[in-house]
Amino acid sequence: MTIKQTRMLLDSRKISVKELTEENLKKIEENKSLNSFITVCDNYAAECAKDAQNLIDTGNQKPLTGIPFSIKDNICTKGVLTTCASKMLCDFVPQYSATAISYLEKQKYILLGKNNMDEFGMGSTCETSYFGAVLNPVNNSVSAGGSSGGSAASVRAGLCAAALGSDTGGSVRLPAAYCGVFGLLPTYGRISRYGLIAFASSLEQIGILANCTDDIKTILNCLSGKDKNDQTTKPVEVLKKSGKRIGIPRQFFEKADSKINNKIFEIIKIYEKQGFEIKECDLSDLDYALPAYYLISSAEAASNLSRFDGVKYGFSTRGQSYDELLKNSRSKGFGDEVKRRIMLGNYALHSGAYDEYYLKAVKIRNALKLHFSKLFEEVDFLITPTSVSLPPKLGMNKAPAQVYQDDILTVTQNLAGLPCLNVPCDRDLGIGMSITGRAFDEYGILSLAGLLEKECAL
Amino acid sequence: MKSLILHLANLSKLTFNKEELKSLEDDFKEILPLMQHVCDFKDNENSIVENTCDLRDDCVCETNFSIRNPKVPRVIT
Repeated sequence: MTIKQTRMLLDSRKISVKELTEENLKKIEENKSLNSFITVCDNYAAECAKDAQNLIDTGNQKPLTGIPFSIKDNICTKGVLTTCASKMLCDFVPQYSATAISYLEKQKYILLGKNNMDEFGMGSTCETSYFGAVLNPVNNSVSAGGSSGGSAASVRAGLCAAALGSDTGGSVRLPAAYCGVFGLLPTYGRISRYGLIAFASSLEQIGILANCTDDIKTILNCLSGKDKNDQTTKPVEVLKKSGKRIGIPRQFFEKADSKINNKIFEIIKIYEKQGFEIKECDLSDLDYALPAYYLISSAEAASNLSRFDGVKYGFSTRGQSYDELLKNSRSKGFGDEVKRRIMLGNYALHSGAYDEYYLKAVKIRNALKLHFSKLFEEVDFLITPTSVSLPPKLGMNKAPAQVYQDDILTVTQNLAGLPCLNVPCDRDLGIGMSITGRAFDEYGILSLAGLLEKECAL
Repeated sequence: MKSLILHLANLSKLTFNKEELKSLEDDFKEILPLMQHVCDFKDNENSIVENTCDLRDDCVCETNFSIRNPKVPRVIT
């Protein structure tokens, strides 16, 4: 059910917020085997429902009043366990809510629970979680995608109306594609990162997962804007320049499975029929994007995760000295993938490799940004596949370097800070198409995707 | 490779047993060549580099987007 449909039911009193919340909590319990939730907030949700119903009863409801949400477990929710799917934070209860959450709280939304994810957002199959892997609701033997796999699976399984995730290198769009839902990475600076537990601060954004483009628009309206606690946020700017030129960067299609490409080409033909101009274009720096992304994100992760020292907060174990306590706590608190990324980050930053690796990666990022701005002089949108392959089987135990390659089609938008939406093309097979637009042109992207919703009943 | 892994483990304030070290060595044998690809990127030496934060131990700069020229010595704020 979409937010619009739910809103109508609630406002016409055909269903109460309490009934809706109970129904969703029941579904969560029935679908426990998906492992899409780390924490289910039964009591908290019941309290939220009372507040929301009061607002509706007095006629003061807002667009998201009484709408049931689930939130990725790396977004701080005051008084509710927030673990980042890590042993390191397995008993961490934040004392404040993220700005995005406080905006939802003002609307009197319903918090159903906190979603499972890859540990600290590091992974693309949702298998690195301390709490176990998330199953794809469409086919339990394949991955739900990562790192916001729990959020995508919850939306797909109808456990909530919408969910918030975070996207550092494709973490919203990839699971959205695998689970067959819409997933938006907003422009860097569109939504405040205050209260999002940091992995790679210059790349990540809070993203939105929902069943339709209208729902994403409604949530984006509520969450975006300047925040004094995050200096990278910008006041809402709505671009009105969107046109009818679509670029197809061929390098992206060369990396993807033919089944995925064929499906996307079918969709491109629909746009062509509707009068859009389709242009083939180049993004020749694509091959540099993946290592640049991993070097920058790991370097920032090494810095951001240095705060977990077993003293101030987080998992702690014994040691004979401060150094031993620090090393023991970190070694036992972090999972294997997180440790690998921290070490890779420190490799990129250490004096022998800084200029050759980290600085080069930053230059590549700059070159990519310039390349994208030149492309957007010729076209208004770019269409690319979201994933290189169909959802992989769970438990394949691929080597880390192979797993990293799966992110190649999603990292460029994070490096350039551009908005990008996953549009589910085949909800059952887990095929997704990405629409990238100019900075702050989320509404243009959503309108373009909306045309498909009408045409293909996505 | 073993000494590099030990050095990185020390920098990262992490400890590993023998098996874990061996597995990390194998992982990094595949990861580092993938990362090395950035070294092939031909950049313009005189170009202005848009940097994020330096993130090195001695960097206390809080600015997320500062523009600096790589030829000008870095100023620690």
